[in-house]
Amino acid sequence: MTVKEYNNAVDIYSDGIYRFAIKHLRNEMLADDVVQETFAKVWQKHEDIQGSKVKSYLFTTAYTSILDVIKKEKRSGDMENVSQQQAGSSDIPNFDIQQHLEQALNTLPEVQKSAVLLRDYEGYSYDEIADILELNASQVKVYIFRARKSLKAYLKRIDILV
Amino acid sequence: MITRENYELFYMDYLEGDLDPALVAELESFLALHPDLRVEDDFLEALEAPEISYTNKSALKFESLPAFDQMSNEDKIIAYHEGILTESQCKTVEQLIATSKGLQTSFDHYQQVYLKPATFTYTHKGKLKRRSTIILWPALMAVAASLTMLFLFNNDISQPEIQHAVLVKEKDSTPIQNTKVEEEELPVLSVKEENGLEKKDINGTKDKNTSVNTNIAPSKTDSLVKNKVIPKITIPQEQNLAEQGIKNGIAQVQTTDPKSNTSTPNVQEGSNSTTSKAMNTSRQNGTYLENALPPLVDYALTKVSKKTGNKPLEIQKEENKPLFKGKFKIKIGSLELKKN
Repeated sequence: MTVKEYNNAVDIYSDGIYRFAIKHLRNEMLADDVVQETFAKVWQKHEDIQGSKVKSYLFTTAYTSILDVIKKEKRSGDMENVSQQQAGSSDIPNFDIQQHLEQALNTLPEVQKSAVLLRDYEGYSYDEIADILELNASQVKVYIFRARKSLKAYLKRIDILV
Repeated sequence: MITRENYELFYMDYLEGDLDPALVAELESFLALHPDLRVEDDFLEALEAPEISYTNKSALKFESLPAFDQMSNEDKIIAYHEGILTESQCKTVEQLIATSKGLQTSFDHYQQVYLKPATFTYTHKGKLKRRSTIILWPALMAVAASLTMLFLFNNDISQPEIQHAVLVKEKDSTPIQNTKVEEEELPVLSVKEENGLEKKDINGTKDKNTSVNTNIAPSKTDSLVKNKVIPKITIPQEQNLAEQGIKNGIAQVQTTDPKSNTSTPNVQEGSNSTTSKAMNTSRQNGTYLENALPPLVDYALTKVSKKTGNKPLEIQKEENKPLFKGKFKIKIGSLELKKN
């Protein structure tokens, strides 16, 4: 990957990486750290990364960084007190169902959450998600099915779905 | 033999019923002698593992989804929304939900559990970008050339006595000869009385104004000194040099080869000590002007005259500036050298 391709990747994918991180971490600063760490790691290996694979590599790296942050924050107990800050530049559709869905998303295990986010936000196929999350496609499919059931159950529990 | 040090090994086998029957009597005798080592009867019972079961085993299993025909109705609905069914399978699901209100509701619910991508803008992209490391060889070469030129100019300027170039106003038209100069050569510009002499300007037109001829030895130091040839600038005697061409901003410099008596632009490089000596010499022989040629002019004359052949040199002083100080400009044909 050339420097130009790398900089193009910054333009194209940093928003998605930031969104991916902030949906997991619910904290702007932590999400920003993840984005910077992700691109720093990708830059270190940019000569070995093909330009066509950079998006997958970015999300894989971001996912690993997110899990590291979650483990670290949970150990220190901060994650429980993290205020649900949303990025100032976020533009969540003002639909109740979506807001509740965001909350429901946070009840999912991280791997299911990642699979759903990559599927719904980034439009990845099962194979691509499997590549990013280092699973196989069947596992991803199962996780997504389980996640859908959990989301539906959550929304139904709070009487959003009638 | 069972002792207090090794009794535990026998005791554990005894409690578990694995002790050799031949040793049972010996162990019991030992415990009778050492009742403090005897454990409670429920000792082993306390070690039994409690019944703890992990209830989320299904979450750990990675079972592939069953084939469509073996899927539950709920999974079929999810698969429908996931878009992973064939066209015929989709029709099957649609027919299925049409037959059951409950399935229709479930279908509608699953339709709503898809996240709509929110727009997020990462505002620090600039910090993430990198710059290419490009070696600009042409630029480096240009810098190197500039530094070289600067060094050369400074080299000349750094010779303070060169600033004391001399214009000698001679009392007669005879070039200075046999002047003893002990050290090196000097670019002496001798001012010669030449009333009525015609002067050639750059364009070759005749002019009765100041005519300045430089008679400069063709060789370097040794030849200049040994051959006793002094470069000269000739001007009319009654006209003050400063009031003439130089004061007016333009001095026509025309060099003359003393041997061939032809005009050739040829400026000899001078050295510091030579300049001082020559100043003294010129003081003895006539009038002079200190700082007549700044070192940069001296340098330029030396360098450019080699490439211009017989073209006359024009030294142009910036108006309203002190003579030979500050800005000046040299024109040789289309070539122009300017110092600001």
